[in-house]
Amino acid sequence: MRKPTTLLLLVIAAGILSLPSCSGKKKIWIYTSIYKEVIETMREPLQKAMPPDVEVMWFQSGSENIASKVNAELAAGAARADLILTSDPFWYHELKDQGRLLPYKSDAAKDIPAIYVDPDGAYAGVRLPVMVIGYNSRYFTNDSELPKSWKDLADPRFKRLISMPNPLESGSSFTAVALLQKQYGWDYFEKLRANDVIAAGGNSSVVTRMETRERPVGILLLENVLKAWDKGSPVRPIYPSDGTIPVLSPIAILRDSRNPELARKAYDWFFTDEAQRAIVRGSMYSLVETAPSPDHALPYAELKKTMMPWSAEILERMFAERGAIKSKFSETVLR
Amino acid sequence: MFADGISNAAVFEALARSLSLSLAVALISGVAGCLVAWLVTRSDIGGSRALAGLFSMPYAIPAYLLGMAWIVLGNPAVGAIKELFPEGGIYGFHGMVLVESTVAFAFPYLELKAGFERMDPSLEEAARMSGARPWRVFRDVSFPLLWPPLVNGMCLSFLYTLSSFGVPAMLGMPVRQFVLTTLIYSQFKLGGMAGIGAGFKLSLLLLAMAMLVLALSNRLVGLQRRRGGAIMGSRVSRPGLVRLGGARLPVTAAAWIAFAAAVALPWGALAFSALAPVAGSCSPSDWTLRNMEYVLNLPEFREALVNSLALSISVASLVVGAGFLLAFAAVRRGSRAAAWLIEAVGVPFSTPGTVIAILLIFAATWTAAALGRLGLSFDSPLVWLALAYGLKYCAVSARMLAAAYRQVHPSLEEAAVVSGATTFILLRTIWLPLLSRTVLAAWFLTALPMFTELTMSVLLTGPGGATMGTVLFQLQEYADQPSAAALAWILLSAALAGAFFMRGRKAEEILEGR
Repeated sequence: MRKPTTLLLLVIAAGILSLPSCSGKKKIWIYTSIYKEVIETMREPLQKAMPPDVEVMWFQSGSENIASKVNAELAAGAARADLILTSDPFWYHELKDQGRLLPYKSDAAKDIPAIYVDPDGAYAGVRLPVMVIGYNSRYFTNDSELPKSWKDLADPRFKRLISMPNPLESGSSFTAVALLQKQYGWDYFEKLRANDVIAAGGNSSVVTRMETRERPVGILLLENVLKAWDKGSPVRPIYPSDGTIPVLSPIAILRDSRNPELARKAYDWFFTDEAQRAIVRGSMYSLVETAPSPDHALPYAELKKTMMPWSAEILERMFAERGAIKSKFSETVLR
Repeated sequence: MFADGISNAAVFEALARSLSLSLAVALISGVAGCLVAWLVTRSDIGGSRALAGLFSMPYAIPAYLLGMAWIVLGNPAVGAIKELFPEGGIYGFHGMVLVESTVAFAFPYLELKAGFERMDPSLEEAARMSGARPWRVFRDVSFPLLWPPLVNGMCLSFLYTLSSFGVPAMLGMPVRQFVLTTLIYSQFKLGGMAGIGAGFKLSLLLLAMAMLVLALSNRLVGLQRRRGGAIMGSRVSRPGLVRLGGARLPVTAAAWIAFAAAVALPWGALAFSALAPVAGSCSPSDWTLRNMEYVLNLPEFREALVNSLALSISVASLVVGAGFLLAFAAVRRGSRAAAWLIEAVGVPFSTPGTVIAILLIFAATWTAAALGRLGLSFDSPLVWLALAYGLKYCAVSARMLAAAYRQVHPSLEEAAVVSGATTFILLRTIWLPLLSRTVLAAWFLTALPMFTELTMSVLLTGPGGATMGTVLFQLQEYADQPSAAALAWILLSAALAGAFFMRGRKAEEILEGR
């Protein structure tokens, strides 16, 4: 007669699982695509910066997963997230258009360059990932073989050597495609297609393809290159002479926030020295000009000189053409 | 028509590829499953007991890990056995068929193995004694009786492949071969609000295909049933084994080699890449345990282990228990509602995980709002994970058990009813022992994918809700490939060890807690 006992145990187990976690504390939910390691260094200081009866809750995932989750929450009525910090500027623009963001012109963000701040205060850049070219330094023995610019990648000598994240899946890759087609036209992507570029997965899969020499050259986020380098990988960055690509990564408060005051407090915290230092330690550039640059990375002052132009108008225009850019990319590269 | 950014031609191309891939996988796994199930239950193949357990193992490997491993092996630039593949390496349609078949093989195999074990071997013996050759016995006796589980197993393989995402994403997308699930995924990923709508529209298309296949298979099984063909379960007589004779050695060797290629090779490949300090470095002098240590010391690892174990064990048990009762009601009591429910759970099984997760986020938001009005807060991600797993995987057990009930002749039950047995006693003393192998197989097929589920978990998780899948995702996205391989290797080794332990025990013993 063991079966009823087992059954009972299972029912109890199921019961425990379904117990809601209740606590009297107020909660602030932050949905972010920042690395877990960086969050671990932020968790305690942010908790300390908040009133004692507030619990800071983090949900960490890829930018696009967060967008899917928040979009679904919004479509169902109200988002649980109070703050969002991801790296897909177009999504923020869309949310703003739909009136989902709570405008907040914070004094804390006054040092952020105006081109990275929404003029209506709906969002502000809180860190600056950049897209660069990466390569496997064990594959290329001679520096003269390396690509120097985005334009070089279209050269037939890089046939079957290049991979990039899929812009239909990754916001940072989409920004790169949008800015590159603006500069060089679709002709450029036709040449990449002729070079049999792989456009699949996210930035991390580009690193793996470079490391395994499946595709020793990649178009990807600098932070992924730096992190791999840090762990002993032979992957190194190239800052293309025709412009590194800025991927605006904003912070915003959702209009649905149940505690807007607390959300503003947390928002401000992300612009403090403490938070910005944590971001730099996580291999990302800070947008505060006085902040140091990440280890192994080109100093921000240098980087700025070759950065592709960015502005609210460019964002606006690219946003309007978003569907067209995606279909054109599908037709040109993914077919 | 379907989505912005994707032409109709692309949608139809993906649809055609989805269907041909699923069909190829269903046929291959049906034939292979039939062959292997027969070999381990009816022939004197060497090590049949060990093989019987081991051949269900590929299913224990989540398809995306298998994809990872095969990329290590068949990478067109540096793969260990890249010479065995065409120019593009493992990437492409052939790679998807290979990897998906390895996993989907378990559905027909386990169904047929349970079928053979349940079937009264005296039927086959009678045929053999009358001078029929093994093939004739199989064709004229076993096959007509084992139709329903075979069709059902192949149907599950088809649906599994149709809704699978990891393998087409890893092996198809890099060479621009999209299937429906990967198209849906890219819609959800970067389509904004419009993308959700487009994703749902494409899912409906996928669902229509799945329903078509389900209806077809039900019709086939229905035809078979009307022609008669139930077998009484008998546990008294042991089957006399067919002697393979001179073919015994080569057949045994072939079976072990097939197992090695399906499980040991990917296992080795994962171990190999877990030991490398950097993906792609292959000199043994560089090997390091750093990745293993890193994974085992991750703060989320223990949380994920506890959550995934608790979720998979409890949800699988509930789902299989419910399936056992539901199939009884549908098949033996002729309940229309139960039969309808078994049909209906085919819907979530053939819906991509992303779509289910999005719908559950809707539900979670509504629930939270309703509770909020009552002044309650409800943040446990585990409830939604449990619900997602239950929904997604309940079809396997319900369908397997329904097919098994159908296969057994009702005379035993009738005898018990005449003797005054209640439904509980009937289930306890007749059906549970008779179907114990199917129940166990169904539990296995339900619990394992839950333990490593990734697609839905990454969307539904939250604080305190780490699972094996979310930790893997995190390693893959934010750490590096060797660390992800290390976790993959740990998971795979654990699954292999578990199967090894189960192998020696009879299903009835485990079920009855003896």
